[in-house]
Amino acid sequence: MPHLAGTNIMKNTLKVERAKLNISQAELAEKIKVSRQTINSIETNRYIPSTILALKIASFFKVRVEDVFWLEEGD
Amino acid sequence: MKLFPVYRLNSYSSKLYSALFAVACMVGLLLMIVFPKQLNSNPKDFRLVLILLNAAIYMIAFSKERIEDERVERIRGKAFQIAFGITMTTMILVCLAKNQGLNHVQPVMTLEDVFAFTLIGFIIYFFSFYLPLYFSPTWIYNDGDAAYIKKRKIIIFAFGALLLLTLGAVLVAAFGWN
Repeated sequence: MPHLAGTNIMKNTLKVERAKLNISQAELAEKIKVSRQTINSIETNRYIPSTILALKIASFFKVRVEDVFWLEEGD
Repeated sequence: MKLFPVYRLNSYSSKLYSALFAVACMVGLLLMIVFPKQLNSNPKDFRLVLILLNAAIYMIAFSKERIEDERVERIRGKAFQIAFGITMTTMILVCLAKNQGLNHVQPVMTLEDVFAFTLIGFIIYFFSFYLPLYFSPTWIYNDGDAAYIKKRKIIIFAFGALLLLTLGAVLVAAFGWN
């Protein structure tokens, strides 16, 4: 259970999930109708996706959202 | 939820035509300012071209990117926020300066003033949207190859420089700082 007070950082396993299916960022981007750079930004934790996009990503990988995205306590 | 439900964004291809039209307007404005006597330009023509330039830049501002996803929309929203904030602050400060505080020396702004301010707003938007989108390492939006990105950067740099030059000339003409 993450600490919800204070600053939190959203982490994800997008890269790992992609590697399991052996698909590129561009292929994933095309499937969920976003730019490749958006996928790259999410993977490198520079962009926090909307709930809709997070659900789309989880649905694509056939996993629960919290299996792909979770909160970690920041500095 | 779309960030701009009221304003429908124009297609990506319309941006090219709007940019070409904007360049023509900017060149026209600069020529009218630099060679007023040779071109026999009058304030009415100047205002008309300024309105057309504003319309062209408005079209660019409300045109979609090649892939308009939620991340691009978020950068667009931030850019409008920045542009609105800076433009309103500048407008209030200039009005206060022109009116010597609250003395109402010039209570009404001229049409040139209004369009110069909207031009300032669009220019701030242009830079705060396209610079992060194409130049920032954290926001960079390079969905094409290196040659495509390089070409894009050159076009944006040239267009931005021309915009700044036009704004400078319009401000000089509008406020009579020469």
